Amino acid sequence: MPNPDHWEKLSDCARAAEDHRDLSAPFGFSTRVAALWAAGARPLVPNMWEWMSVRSVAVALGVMALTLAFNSDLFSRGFSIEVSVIDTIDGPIL
Amino acid sequence: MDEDELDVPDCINRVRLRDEDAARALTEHLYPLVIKIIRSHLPRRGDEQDLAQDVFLKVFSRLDQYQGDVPLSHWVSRIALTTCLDRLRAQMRRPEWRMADLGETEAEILQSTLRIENEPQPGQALAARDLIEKLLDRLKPEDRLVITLLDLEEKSVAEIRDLTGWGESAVKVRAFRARRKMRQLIDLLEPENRNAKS
Repeated sequence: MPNPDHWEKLSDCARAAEDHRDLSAPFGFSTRVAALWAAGARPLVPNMWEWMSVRSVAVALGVMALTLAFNSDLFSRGFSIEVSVIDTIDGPIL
Repeated sequence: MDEDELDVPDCINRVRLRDEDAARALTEHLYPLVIKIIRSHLPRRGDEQDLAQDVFLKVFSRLDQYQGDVPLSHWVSRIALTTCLDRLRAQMRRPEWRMADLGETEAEILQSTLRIENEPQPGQALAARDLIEKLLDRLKPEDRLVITLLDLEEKSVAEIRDLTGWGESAVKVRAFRARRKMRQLIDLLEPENRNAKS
């Protein structure tokens, strides 16, 4: 059975402990807090334009990758344009 | 800024109008109150400045909700306490430790406490406080908060109710549970009891 006086004795003794640490705000603390507050907390719902622009970049990169994948033959040929005689006959440039 | 010179209601109004100088002055004014609460409840954590910063940002972001029906210090204390509680919940760890893990002075104060005929000496107060901090780490954050306020800061149940927003019976139940747990923990540190339980 625990002795009920133990906690009481210990807490009585601990209450006598004095905390001599400085209670004033450290240099620059209030300036930092005020600046953070003035800058405003980041909104919980991100800005719609910001959100859309990030998505737009992602979509643009995706489209670019798909285009490159489907036209790889074009790049493998090194952009060399081979105009055959038949092409010229079928579709003459007037 | 000197506390006596600060016109708190005027300062609050200016902060509401986004006056940065007023925010700085209010921070300086309230800092001792906030840091005292943080040190009482999270004394062994090294990030007291970060926590104080969180408290002030909460205070400023909610300042429009402050109606002035309670003193500003009470309102801020409540925010500081709930912030400490959130941090305790987030960092909750209950390390196992034994008599051998205690420092020399902590072991001495424990021996004084365990012996009925011995009374802890006033010079052992800091060691007692350190020992209590270790014991408090083993409690649930809510129980820890209540027993700190009640038995170490000697606040009344009504004051704790106002500070935490919990009902009086909830405060009493938590206090009862926390005291019982503390007594058990102290008892477990007694070598004879440890040997008997192991």
